[in-house]
Amino acid sequence: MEKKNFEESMKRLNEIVMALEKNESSLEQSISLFEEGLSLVKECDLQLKGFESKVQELMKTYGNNNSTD
Amino acid sequence: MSQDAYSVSELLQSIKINLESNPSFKSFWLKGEISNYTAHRSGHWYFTLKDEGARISCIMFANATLSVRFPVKEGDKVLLKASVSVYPPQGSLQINVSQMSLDGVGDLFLQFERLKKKLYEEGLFDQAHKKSLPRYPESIGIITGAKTAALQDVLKTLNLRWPGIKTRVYETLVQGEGAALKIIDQLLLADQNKHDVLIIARGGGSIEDLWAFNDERLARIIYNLNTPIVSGIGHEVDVTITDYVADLRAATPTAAAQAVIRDFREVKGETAQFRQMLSKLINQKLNQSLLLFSGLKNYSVWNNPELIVQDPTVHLTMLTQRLFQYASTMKPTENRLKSLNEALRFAAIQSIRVKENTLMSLKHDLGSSLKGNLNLQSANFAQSVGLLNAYSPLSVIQRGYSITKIDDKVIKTIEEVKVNDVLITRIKDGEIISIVTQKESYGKEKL
Repeated sequence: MEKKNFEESMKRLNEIVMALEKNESSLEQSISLFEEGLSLVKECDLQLKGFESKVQELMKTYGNNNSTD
Repeated sequence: MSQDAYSVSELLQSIKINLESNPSFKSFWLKGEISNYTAHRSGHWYFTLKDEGARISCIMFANATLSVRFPVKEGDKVLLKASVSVYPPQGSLQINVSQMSLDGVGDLFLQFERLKKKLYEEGLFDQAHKKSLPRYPESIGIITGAKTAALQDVLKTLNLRWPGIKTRVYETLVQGEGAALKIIDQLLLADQNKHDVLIIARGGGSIEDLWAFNDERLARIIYNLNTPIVSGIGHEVDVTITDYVADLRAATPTAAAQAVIRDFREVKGETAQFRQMLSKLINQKLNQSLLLFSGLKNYSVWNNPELIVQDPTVHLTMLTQRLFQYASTMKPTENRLKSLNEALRFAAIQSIRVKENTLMSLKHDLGSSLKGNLNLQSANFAQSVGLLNAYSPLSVIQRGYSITKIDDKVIKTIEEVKVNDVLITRIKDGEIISIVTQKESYGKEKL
């Protein structure tokens, strides 16, 4: 499976859920869709989890400085 | 005549309607000099606008005053965007002001309005032409002034919402001579670099400060970009031509950054939902498959596969078993049918019982009412017969009287009878037929 960017991953996740909801594929196909979906969720989550610590750092850098708004 | 006269209220109302509905008085530009300027506590401004020959009172409501970018003072020569308004309680005409600028600067407003109208009519602001923004852009081009607060706001907002997002800054002049052309250069460069989305930003300022963003050439370049673009120029109240032609207008640079990328914390909720949905759906699928499987598993051949070779009747048994299985799936339907049938029968019987009871009680009612009726009738009849008897001449005859007739005519006086007439006399038990031989009147005269 080629590496997807976030937008593509979320789009693919949507497709997978829709396909499973339709319930037209065989058990094997469903399981492989499920696996693909889970790994996409994991990838996305991993990326999002990394953000937490980055944001902490950024907050320190930016502080509560002034804004143009 | 007095019916034809206006009341004062009617007159003022009529003037008000006539003036205020006149399109040329609804929105127009008015220039003059400010006097008697009062900023009321409520935030509304009251003043008189005058020139050498005339004066008129003006009101600018609090929300409109927010857009005025200079400190208003007595004697200022101004350009107003105005509409006429009549105030009947005072019998006064006043001007309702929605925009105000110093004359000279006022020319910029007029230019702005003209360009806006022209580009609008050309369709540069059409919603249909706006490109949709990517939901999760990876690379963002930012066109703004170097080292400006606007740039800081945009970068900070983007990074806090999606840390580590790829950005490239295209520095440009954002005001003054040549700014518009520099912005155009940078925009064209950014468009070539295939970003997912562009942000064009600038902090707040006066209309002169923001003027570069009202450039017609810039508007046409933005219209023809291949990359979606979000504008965040000035403050909430500042709207430039660039804002109108951009794919999305955000009120400020920060708002533009927010519009471009979602906050990753929101997205975390979404991925958690995806995870839940996936496991729910796969469990459903598994349960479904298990049910199917357990049905198949019950065939005895799985336990004794040798049966298949041993006996050709096994095939039949298998078929029979499947049939039974099928029948068992039919069972619930059958039961339901049965209970429906029962219910139906019960309902039918009930209904018949009710009808029977009704019928019986009707029958009873009918009998008793008939009998009653009959008794009444026979009593009436007996009474009628009694009366009839009392009046009947027959009963008189019973008592010994008689009736004498000639040719069926009852004889009431002696005058009706002649000698030799045949008389029939009716008595109680027969008739006497006799011939008159002689008649005698009780009068004076005797025949």
